[in-house]
Amino acid sequence: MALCWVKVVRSDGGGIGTPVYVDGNYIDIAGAVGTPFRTETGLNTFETIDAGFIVTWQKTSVIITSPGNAGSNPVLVTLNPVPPAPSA
Amino acid sequence: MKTGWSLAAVLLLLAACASPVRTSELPRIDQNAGYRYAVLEQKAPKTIDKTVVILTFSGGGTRAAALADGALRALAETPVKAGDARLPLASQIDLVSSVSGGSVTAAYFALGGTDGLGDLETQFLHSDVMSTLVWRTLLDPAQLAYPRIDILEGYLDEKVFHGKTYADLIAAEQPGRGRRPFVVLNAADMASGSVFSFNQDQFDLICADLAELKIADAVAASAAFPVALSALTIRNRAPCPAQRQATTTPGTGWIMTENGPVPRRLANDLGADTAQGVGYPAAQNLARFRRGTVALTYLNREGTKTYVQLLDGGIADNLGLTLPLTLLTSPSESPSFLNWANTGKADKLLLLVVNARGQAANDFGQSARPPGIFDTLLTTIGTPIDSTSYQLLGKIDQLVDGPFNPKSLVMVDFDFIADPGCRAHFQGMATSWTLPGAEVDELIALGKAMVLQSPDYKAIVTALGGRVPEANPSVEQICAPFKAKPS
Repeated sequence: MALCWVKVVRSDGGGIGTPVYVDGNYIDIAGAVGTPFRTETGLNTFETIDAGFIVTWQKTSVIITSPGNAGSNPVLVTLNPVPPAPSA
Repeated sequence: MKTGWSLAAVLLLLAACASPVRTSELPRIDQNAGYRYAVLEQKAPKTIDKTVVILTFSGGGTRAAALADGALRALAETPVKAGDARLPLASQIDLVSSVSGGSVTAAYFALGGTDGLGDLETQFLHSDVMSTLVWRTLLDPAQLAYPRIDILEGYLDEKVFHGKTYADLIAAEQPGRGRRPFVVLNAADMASGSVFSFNQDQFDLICADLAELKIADAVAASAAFPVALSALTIRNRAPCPAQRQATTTPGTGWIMTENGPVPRRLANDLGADTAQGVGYPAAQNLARFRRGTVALTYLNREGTKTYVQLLDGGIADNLGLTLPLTLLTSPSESPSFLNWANTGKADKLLLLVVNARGQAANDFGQSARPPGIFDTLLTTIGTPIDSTSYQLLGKIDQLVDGPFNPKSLVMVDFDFIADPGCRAHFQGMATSWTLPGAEVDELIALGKAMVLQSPDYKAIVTALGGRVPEANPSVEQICAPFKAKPS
C-alpha cells in the first residue's frame, strides 16, 4: 500500500489542469496534469481521456520511489499522445 | 465461543450436498450498472461537505448485529448540514464494510435505511433465531439434503430479508433521508484465504450478475462460522464473452493481454515483477501484488476455479478493514478515496470501527495440563476471527494523516470500556444468533453511547455544522449494574 507523490505532465507541455486517471479507473479523477498527487508505487498507467472515454494521452510507468517523498519532490511522469484507433 | 460449539454440535449432524448459488452469467461489463458506488451515488448524491464517512462492522452473531445497530442509531440521531438542509449523518455514509454478525445489520440498513432499524430489532435481534433454526431442521428433514449454510440462509431469506436481492438494494436508493450507503459484505475465499467482497467489481471477475443474488446468500456467507456452517458455494463463470467484449468498449478499464482479458488495474498490480528492468518491484508494494495475484485466480484461466467457496469474512479480515484500506490507498478502485483527497473532493474523514469481539471465559491459565481437543480446535477456529488487527488500524491512521482534517477515528469496542467488570460483562456475551432481550438492549445502548461520547465524533460533527446529542444513557449509566466491586 505504499504511496508516492507524482507529477504528470504532457510531452507537449500543454493540458495543465486536465483530469488524470490511473489504471483504467474512469470514475474518480486521480489528479490533474501539472499538479502533484499521490498514487501507489509499482506499475501504473496514467491517462487523460476525451468525452467519449477514449484515451488521448497516456504513459505506463513504474513508480519505484520509496514512500514518504514530499509533494514538493514528486516523481515526474510524462504522458505521450495516443494515436486515434483506426476506424472500423 | 461456547455457543459456536452448540451450533456446531447440532449442525454437524446434518448431511450436505452441493447446491451452488445462484447467479446467471453477466451479459456485459458496465461501470454504470450493477451494485457499485458510482451507480448508487448517481441516484442519490451525498450532500455533506467534502467528507468521507466509512463504517466497519465486525464480531460474531447477534452481539455484533446489536452493537452495530446501536452505532447506526447514533448517526441517525445526529443532524448535520447537508447542502441547504439538515440531514441525519446516517444518510451521508459512503461505505459500510462488514464481516460476520455485523453483516446482518449492514445489509438490513442498506435495504431499509435508518427508518428500518426498529424493524431489525423486532425481526431479528430480539428473535430466538437458534431455536427456530433447530426446529426448522427437525420438522423439515428435507433440509438434511442441503449444505448446512442453507439452514441459516433460508432463515435469513424468509424471516429477515424477505427474498430481496442486490437489485432491490439498488432500487432502494433515494435522495435525501432515503440515501443509502454502499454496503459491502465480506466473506473469506477458502482457496486463497483472502477477502471476497460482495460488489459488482468483484463479480465482474467471476462474470456473474450480483443484482440477482439474494441478500441472504451474501449475509450467510459473510457469517458462515467455520465447521458449524458449511461454506457458501458460488459458481465462477469466467472466462466469458462479456470480459472479452469489455476490452473493446471504452470506459470499462479492461484490456486484452496475451493471456486474455483483464482489468488494467489488475494487470498493473501484477506487472511490476517483470516491468522495465526493475528487479522485484512487488517487494515495495506487497499488498498490491498480493491483491492482484488473488484477483487473477478468479479469471479462471486454468479452469481450476469453477466454484468459489466462501466462509465467515472474519477469518480473512476480522475488522472488515481490508476494503476501506484499499479504497483509501488505491487510485484504481472505485470509489477511490485517495483520488478524492488528491483532487480536493474530500478533506475530512470519519472512520467508525464497530467491533463486538467477544472473550469467552476459560481456565487455560489455571491448569498445568494442555487444553483438550475441542478447546484446541475451537480456539484455532476462533482466534483469527476474534483477534483484532490493531496493526492494520494503525496503518490506516498513519496513511490518512496528511490529507484529512479532521481525521476522526471512532472505536466502538468492548476493550475501551473503562470499568473491568462492565468490560467483562460485554466481552462474556455469547457468540450466538439468540441473546437474552436485556443483553440486546444493553448492546444497542452501548453502541450508541460509545459513538455519541467520542471526542473524535464530536469533532467531525462540529466540522459538518452539526451537534451531537447527549448520550442517554451514557456508557457509565449502562455499566452501573456490572461495575467491578473494589477489592
